Amino acid sequence: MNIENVCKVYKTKNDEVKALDNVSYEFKPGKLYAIMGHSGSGKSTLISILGLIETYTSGKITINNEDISKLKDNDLSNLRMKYIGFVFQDFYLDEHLKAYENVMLPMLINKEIKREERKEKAIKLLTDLGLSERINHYPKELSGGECQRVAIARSLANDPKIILADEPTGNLDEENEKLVFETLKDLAKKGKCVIVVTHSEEIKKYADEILKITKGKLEV
Amino acid sequence: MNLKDRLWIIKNHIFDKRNYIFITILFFIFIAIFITLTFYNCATYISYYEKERLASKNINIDINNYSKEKEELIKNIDHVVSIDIFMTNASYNVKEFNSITPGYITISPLIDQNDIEIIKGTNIQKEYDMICPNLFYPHDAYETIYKSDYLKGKEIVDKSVVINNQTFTIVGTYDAKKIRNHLSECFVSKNTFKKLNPEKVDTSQLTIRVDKQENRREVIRALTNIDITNIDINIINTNYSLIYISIFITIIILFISFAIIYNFIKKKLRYRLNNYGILKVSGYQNKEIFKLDILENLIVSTICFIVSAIFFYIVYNLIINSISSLDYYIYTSEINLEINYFYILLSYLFMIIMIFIATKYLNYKYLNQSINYLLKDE
Ligand SMILES: Nc1ncnc2c1ncn2[C@@H]1O[C@H](COP(=O)(O)OP(=O)(O)O)[C@@H](O)[C@H]1O
Ligand SMILES: [Mg+2]
Repeated sequence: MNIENVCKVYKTKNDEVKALDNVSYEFKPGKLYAIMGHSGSGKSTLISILGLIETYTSGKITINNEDISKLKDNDLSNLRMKYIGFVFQDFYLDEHLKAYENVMLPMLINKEIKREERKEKAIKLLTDLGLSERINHYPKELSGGECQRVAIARSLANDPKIILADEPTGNLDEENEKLVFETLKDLAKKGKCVIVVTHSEEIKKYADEILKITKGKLEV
Repeated sequence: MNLKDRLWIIKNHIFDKRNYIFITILFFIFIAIFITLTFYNCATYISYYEKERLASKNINIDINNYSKEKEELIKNIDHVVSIDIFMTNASYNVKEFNSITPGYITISPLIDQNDIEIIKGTNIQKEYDMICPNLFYPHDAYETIYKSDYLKGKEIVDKSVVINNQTFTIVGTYDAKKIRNHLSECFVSKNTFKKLNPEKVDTSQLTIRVDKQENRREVIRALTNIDITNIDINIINTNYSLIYISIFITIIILFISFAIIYNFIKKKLRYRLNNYGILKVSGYQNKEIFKLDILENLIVSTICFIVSAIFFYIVYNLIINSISSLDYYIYTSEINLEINYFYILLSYLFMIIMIFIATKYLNYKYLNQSINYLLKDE
């Protein structure tokens, strides 16, 4: 995944906020990247643009050598399904679905996964994250750390190459934070490109690269 | 994604708290639409009362300045179906139908076979064939009406009744309400009627039967052209105001319903924006989410339709049956309080259209926002 000169300007009624200013970088598979910076520096904006859930004002983004700037909404949806797993600070689990059902949700639109395999796959993902006892629990019955791991399992449902996490440990205590970072590190070791936005200094023990962002500018 | 997968997702959301509120609201909206459309049904029936009666197709003329040649001329006028000596109807006690109250029916001559629509059995073919109402009450209604004395079509076809020592066979049934006949009125052929009731035949008058009520004016003009002026016709002035009022009420109710439905779907959608955001992050396309949404709303409204239709049917009939002063008007076909099933289905159609429009518009409005907006909205 490669980004070149990406800018993002938020237009509000009265003024414009330049959230990203000429950001360029190449993200490689098999590495864990940490994006750090002060509040309001543009971290969330950057990772949202990388996750194709926010538009950008100018610049160029390529995924797998494919330029995405000219793609329509439906094609972007397909790219998100195939390449990108996204984890949020607030988990956003569906409270009406059990843990494994939450993980199955993204699989429903993936034609490569057969219906019979879905449940098995979801259970395997949860087991790999140490949640084998929590498969049939609803989000309300899980702790924050467990919820976040279910969310990570969900982001892995369609076996994406890129995992993005926006302050995944923002709502978690230190112990759970460690668990989540370890999980992300493992994923990087397995060859995925993992990008984490965080405030926590703890990440320095795990990250391969630390990117600092100040007022929309990236410093490597 | 196929239907089975969609239903799997919907199954988990259908018992969401928001849907309970939605179902309750839809229930009341359905009932309101049922009531207004039933009112419309009654209003049309009452307004067209005079127009639908068989007598409204008749033109009666005096026989004074009449000759065989004139009869030929009349027969050749457009829209004229037949000319007959004026015949009214006659009533008899019929002991075959005796029950708590004595059996009693009215017999009329069938001037034109097209006047009636046969529901069960056949039309009159033989001399002593008779046709009776499909919902038949062979008693005099000036006394108390006993609901148990109503006879249904299949109970009376092939039954024999004796009138003036002649044995008649009921060969078929017709819809008496459609032509606003009393529920005790039967038809026999013209000739049989004449034989049975020579005294009821008025030879000083002729009845000209016109094919449609609205063509009478034209026929009268043609009659004046051939110097027939002693014309007796009851002028029908249909009063449409009741119909207009009911259409107006229906439109208002539909309008209010749409506003309510729109707002509830909007609330539900806003409440679920996070869910939809996460679906989009996972790669769901807008049209996929729309399909999930519309399918869920259709399932909810269909369940609601079935429940409210059954509820309406039971309560409506309970109410109508408990008001005994209505019985006489029902007997004389002056009002029709039956539920019109076509209108019930029409309500469903209205509802589906409203839900579709609201869901489509709201999905379009919200799902085209950025995903971050969907996720951050609380
Ligand atoms: N939807 C938006 N509309 C307008 N301004 C926004 C919006 N989202 C973020 N911003 C602005 O862009 C800047 C960067 O925000 P963000 O990327 O969320 O920062 P971070 O995640 O590093 O705290 C901030 O100044 C913020 O106020
Ligand atoms: Mg942020």
